[in-house]
Amino acid sequence: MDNDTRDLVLRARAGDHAALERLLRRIDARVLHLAHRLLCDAEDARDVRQWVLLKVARSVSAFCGDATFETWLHRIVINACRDRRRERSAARRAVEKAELSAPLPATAVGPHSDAERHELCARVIAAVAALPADEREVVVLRHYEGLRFPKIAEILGTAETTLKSRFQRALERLAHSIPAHDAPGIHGGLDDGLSRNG
Amino acid sequence: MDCRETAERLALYVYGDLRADDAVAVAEHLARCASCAAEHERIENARQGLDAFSPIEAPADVAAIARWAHSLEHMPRGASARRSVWIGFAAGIAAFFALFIPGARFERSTEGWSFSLGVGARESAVPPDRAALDEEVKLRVDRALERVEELQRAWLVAQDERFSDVLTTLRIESEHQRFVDSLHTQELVDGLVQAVAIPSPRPYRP
Repeated sequence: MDNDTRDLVLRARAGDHAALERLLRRIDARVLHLAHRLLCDAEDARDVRQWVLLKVARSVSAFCGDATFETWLHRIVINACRDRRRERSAARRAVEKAELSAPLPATAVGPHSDAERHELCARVIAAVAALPADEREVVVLRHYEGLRFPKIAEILGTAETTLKSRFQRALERLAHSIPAHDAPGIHGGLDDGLSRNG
Repeated sequence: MDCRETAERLALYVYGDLRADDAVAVAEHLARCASCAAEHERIENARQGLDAFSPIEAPADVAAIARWAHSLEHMPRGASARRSVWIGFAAGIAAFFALFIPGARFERSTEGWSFSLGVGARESAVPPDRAALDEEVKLRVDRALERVEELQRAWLVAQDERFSDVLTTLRIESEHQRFVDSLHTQELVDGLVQAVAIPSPRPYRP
């Protein structure tokens, strides 16, 4: 948590309405994107975002600081998304499952145009949505939030080794469902992989 | 490192989450195993493909959410509701004096409401300013009713299915206390309504 955010949290806790509004603006996009990637549904994500902002606004005074604000926020969003998923009707889930189980086209193309980018985005969303919820959470927190496994373990309350296994399984599924494409900037040689480790 | 051990580590390798010695072992294996190298390429493609999950735009309603949360947080709680009851009681006492004590005046000025017994004015007892008093009482009743409606709306929102967790996680006892407060406010309204219904003052008999 940067100093600005810490300052806003402290002021919001003390009842500073302007600081609270600035804090909500600061976390707004992050909350929405996190919810969108966890739920893979824009409408649900907007509902969860509104709920989370309201909850943060009303609970920040009770935020005791035993975890970082970021960890606290992640937990709120993840729990809200879990609740949201539970609320979905069985019928809707069945429809989604039928749609998502349809095989993706084998002939993938690079996202050179808006239409192609949109299509690729839809495919990736479908692939992420098809992941089991526990695997999706790890992928979202690691890939999109850029969190390391010790932090993810703290947020989810799960052992690191378990999370790493889930992550490996999730990437294997995604490798199967996200077709390779030749978009500019794609790279990934052995040296790149080695340089990212250790 | 063999193929199975490598396959179990590819995702961590691609994301840079392996220890340095493990990463070197994976890299060495990939350099000599075409099958694992192909799998590594697929995982790497998946990693890069995930970036195509483009974000959506947030609605511009943060200020409204902050105001809503602020208004819910600052609704009258126990202390302020009790204070309102005392203000109502004081208004009732003032109304009694204004209605039954000749010469007593209940006047409104730029500094607010003032009350005086009108000493020396007995011979020309001024009838109480019933119209002004009625206006004030009516104003207070209207305000109290508005407050009750506000509390009832908040209560309904809290009971809404979509906000059921608000009720659970944001201190259910707090919401309950507010509802109880609304009952106190209703008592205040009842008291004020009775105050409006006070019969006309008896004529003064010195």
